[in-house]
Amino acid sequence: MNKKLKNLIILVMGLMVISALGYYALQENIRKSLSFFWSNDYYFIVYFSLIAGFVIIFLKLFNKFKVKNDALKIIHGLIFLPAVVLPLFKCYFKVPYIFCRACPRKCPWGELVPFIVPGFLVLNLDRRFWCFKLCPLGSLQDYQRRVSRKRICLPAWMKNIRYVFLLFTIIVVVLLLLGSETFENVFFVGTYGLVLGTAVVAMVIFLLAFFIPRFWCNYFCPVGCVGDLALKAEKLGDKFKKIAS
Amino acid sequence: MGEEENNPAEKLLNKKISRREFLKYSFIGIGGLATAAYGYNHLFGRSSGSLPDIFPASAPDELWKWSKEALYYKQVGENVQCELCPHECSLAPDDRGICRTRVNKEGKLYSLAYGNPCSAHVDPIEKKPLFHFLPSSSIFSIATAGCNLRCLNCQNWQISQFQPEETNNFDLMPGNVVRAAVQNNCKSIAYTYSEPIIFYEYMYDTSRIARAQGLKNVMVTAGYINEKPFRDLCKVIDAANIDLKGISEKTYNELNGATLEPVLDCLKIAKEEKLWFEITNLVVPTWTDNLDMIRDMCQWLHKNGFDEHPVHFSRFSPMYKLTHLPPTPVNLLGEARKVAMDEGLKYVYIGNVPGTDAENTYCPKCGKVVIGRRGYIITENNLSNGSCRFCGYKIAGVFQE
Repeated sequence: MNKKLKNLIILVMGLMVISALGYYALQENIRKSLSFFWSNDYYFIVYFSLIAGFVIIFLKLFNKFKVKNDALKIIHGLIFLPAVVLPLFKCYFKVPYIFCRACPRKCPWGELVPFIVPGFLVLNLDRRFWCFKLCPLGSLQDYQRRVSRKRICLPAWMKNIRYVFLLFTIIVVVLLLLGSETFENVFFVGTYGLVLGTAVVAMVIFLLAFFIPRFWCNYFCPVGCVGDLALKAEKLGDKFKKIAS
Repeated sequence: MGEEENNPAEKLLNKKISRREFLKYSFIGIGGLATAAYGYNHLFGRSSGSLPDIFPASAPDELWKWSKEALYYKQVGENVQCELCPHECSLAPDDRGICRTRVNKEGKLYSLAYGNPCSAHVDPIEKKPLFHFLPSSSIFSIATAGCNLRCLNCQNWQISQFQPEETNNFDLMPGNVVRAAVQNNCKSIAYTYSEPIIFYEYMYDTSRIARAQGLKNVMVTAGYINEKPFRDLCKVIDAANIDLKGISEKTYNELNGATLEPVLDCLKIAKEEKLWFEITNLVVPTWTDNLDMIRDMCQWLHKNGFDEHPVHFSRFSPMYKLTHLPPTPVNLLGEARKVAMDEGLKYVYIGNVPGTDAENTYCPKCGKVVIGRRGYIITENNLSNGSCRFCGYKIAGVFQE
């Protein structure tokens, strides 16, 4: 099959899955319509998929693992997609993903975040393994780039925006750990629903990802940012080693 | 060399990696194990909901004068098993129960909440809230410290989430409670504020004395009590306000530190025992504000024959561990009231919202105002021998002594 056609099919199927999730998520009683994703069964599947990621790293290390990247991306992408995408459709806070500690009624992301985010960060120590092989948002953007010919170049300094997001995320997490309620109240929407600002920003990022490679990953994502810093540290180590030798 | 190439095991063992790679993969391995362990504990190691636990080795060295041997427990060797509420705490010597008031001393269970209320006040009866029981009368209200629930939104947490030894208490034995009620011209005594189940023996004894002197007894409770103690209690109390905090087991676990079924049973038992009671549901944003859940609750009440029992939808105020939530929107309370009335409940009120027409009692037949209220004040009373003055429909409740 033509490679471009294959990528297009995968992209369209991914978008159909996201649309279906979005349709049911926007129903009034999301926990009824998508109850599977609030169940321990789904959480166990995510848990074991995350552990599988670690196992794959060590199997690769000993050259014992040869699976096509596409297969890895699709399988892990589908497993993690509901947890990653649902907060975009419904959240109690104006900025999703980071206020889970203060959230009164957690979604699948909120239930899983205590161990999956540390898991992502550790997986990224191996040349951003999570970002490039497993992350559903990263995979989606990869397929978006593959089907589009046009490209928009942004100035290099704009990549520093992700450090601002990383700093914001760290501040929020620390303040929530310290029990700051004033900070939560600023971002608390009051109802579990679609936040227009979040939806608009997500749509813009999605559309620009057709033209800017990994737009979310390179310019916003805090997990990717930490992974990138780890990669830079590793390269710096190589540099020092070269100088020393 | 050739032998190594043919032998995968040899190849594996002799694979060279740099020091940096070794360190990196060690970190990844340790991080992976830690993530696996933490994730395992997070998912598999969780106990059911957020049910509270006993306080080990927390009894006082000696019992104080405000102690009484508990009525409902069994001895299991030197341990005791309380049988008052569904927690059924199993206590070793010197342990304290979840309610904070019951302790095991030398193989016997004692209540430390007897004759030592931390709150004593005269209130209008509408405050309980009781709208269909001796309206516009005064009620002498008492409470001790302690509670067998852990509601995140507790309005009285400064007394409910503390032990009796930690609060400033009056010395008011049962006889003196009744005397004080009479002196304050109160027709009834309310066991309220915290959770009266936890001072069961005090409530029971006071109720018997009050009845003998012609006073009524009212219990304001979350209804988390076992069947036998509650049936015995129904013989000495005259009315109750029972909280039905929702119809979801998960909400009861996480918001209140309890379970749902015993509360539903309590409502059924109260009906069987012909106890007059009214039901309160606190509408907490993001927890119990879902109209589908409210509809389910009202359908359950209708199906089980509670149409004639008033339901109060109360407005939540940010308190205790839920100060980050906003107060309940007033229009949502109105919608909840509409849902309840559509499901067949006849007397539905909105609480903690002064000045609303939903505080009035309307005749289910002709729709006219039978009892008008502004806050706790009765503005008009169109009852005649407990019936609507306009159409003669019998209004459910106890309107005369």
